[in-house]
Amino acid sequence: MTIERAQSYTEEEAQGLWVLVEAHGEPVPAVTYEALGAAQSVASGLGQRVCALVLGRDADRASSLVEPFVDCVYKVNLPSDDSSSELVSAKAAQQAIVQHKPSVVLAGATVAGKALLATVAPLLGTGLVNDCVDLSFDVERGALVFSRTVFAGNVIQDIDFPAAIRPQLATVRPKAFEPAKETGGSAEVIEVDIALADQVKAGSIIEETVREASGMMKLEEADIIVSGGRGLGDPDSFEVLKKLAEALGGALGASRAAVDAGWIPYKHQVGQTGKTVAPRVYVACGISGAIQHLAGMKSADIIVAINKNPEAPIFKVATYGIVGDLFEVAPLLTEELNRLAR
Amino acid sequence: MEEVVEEVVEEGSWGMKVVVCLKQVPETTEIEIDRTTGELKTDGIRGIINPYDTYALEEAIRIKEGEGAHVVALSVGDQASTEALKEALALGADEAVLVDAGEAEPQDGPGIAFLLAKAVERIGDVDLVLCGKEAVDGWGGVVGPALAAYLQYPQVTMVRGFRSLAADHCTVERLFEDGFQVVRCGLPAVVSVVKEINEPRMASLRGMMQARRREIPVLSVSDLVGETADLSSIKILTRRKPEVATGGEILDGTPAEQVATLVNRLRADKVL
Repeated sequence: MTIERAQSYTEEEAQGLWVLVEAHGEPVPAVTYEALGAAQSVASGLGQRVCALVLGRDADRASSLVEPFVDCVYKVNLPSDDSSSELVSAKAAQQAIVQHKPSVVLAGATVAGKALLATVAPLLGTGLVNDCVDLSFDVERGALVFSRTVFAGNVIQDIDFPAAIRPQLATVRPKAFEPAKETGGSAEVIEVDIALADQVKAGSIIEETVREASGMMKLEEADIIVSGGRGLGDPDSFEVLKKLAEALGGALGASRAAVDAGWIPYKHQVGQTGKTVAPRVYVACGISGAIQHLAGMKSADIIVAINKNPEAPIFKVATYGIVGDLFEVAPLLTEELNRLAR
Repeated sequence: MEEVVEEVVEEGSWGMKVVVCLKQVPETTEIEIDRTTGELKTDGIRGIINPYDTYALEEAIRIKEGEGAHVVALSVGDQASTEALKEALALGADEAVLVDAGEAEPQDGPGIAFLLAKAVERIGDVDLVLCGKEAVDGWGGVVGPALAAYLQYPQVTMVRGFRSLAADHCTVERLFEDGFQVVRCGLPAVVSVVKEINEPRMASLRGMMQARRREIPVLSVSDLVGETADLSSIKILTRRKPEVATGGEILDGTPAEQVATLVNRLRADKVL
């Protein structure tokens, strides 16, 4: 085996703003429409068409869902029995990209989308900007600038690709971009033929997929999140927040302190070692606001903080702060919301 | 100190060879930017193992203690990164390798992954490569999958646990947005782990004393790839601080009054 760096193509050869749409029989995630929106926002600056690369065993259905939002669709039908993970999709994406040479390929920063583009980047000899929070067209340089954060949101990097390296690959963070608008026209659909070697399929197999139906919304997609921290004191107290979340029609989050204490599962964790969220409203209850937690939620439009300690750092980022006992305030708020709903 | 290790793990007695990729990062995330150079100011800040990578290291040590393994800690960085590698030795890694990229350190994930892949090839006979989910100052999880692509190994990201580990395959649980997947993966493979997988131990004083005396072999970029051409495929134009959110409104009154004001504000903001 030889480990080699693939040779990319150049800016002059490249044409088209693509958005990866994975079609494995699941709904197209909201963040994919946001990636399409990000592509639309820079399309006129670049003077390029917005296209979807629809990839998977359910490509026909997924294609019809995204066609209203794009100028064209490159459709790759993968074998229907396919249960293998990213490498198959990555090899297929690589072939479609090499055939049609887009200048940009965006994807939603989902678990699958991030792993897929990170696998594709070396195969194409290009780079990848994960978790973009901003995408802009620099008129002076005639080039795109990709922005992302490091150090728990403390530093923003603005990133460029050399003209010799295309496509520009990036994943976009959920809720960072406005969803795409319908074009009003009809999309051209181009079928892409690919050939996959058998050994590619054998690498890893998804034996089982377990969806944990919690009856509540996914954190990343929720417009409203009610989150609890150390101030809750015990696992039962999360019931109080669950009721508030239900009254608000939101999802339930938690700080690392609450997760580490074993009061609530890891999948609810917001922050540097958990999920990054950007809801319209984030209600932080009994959360002091350590920088690692703020990293995961400070781009929420409105932050409501309920905390006993007036010195808690969470109040520095809060839009509305209530200094008080969450066990008093949260049930009152739930009651008031339920009263208004009636 | 080599002898001590050899006594415990005799040649060939370990089951598999596990490489753990570690990155040394600054101890704090409250990093400032030098106004004149635009570079991060990290002088005087202690280096630690990237917190996410500590879970990968702990998992490797647990495999060593369970199934038996020879654990190699591998890092791309500069001379300072020997600190992180010595910490890995103190925690139970058998061997450590530094790729000293110095000024030539790639600015992007695929570039780092390329050097790691070359180093894994050099280490040889590797059964499993473990990575953390991402680095606090890194690329949001590019390195693991990109490393697998270069090595042509299968890979699984976001792994929260091993269900089984055999000579030629493993079965892992992988977290995704609304649940988990059970993935059977052929070996050798690259597995990126999340925090949920374990609770990393602390290094013992004795371990730290022993590790301090170990020599860590250093590979240069030219050792691995011949020439030192620019391995970066992207360029960081600027680094800047985000705008600081200003403190908002503290709502006064009794709890009932506070709640009433809050509801009014949220209605005015059109979120209720």
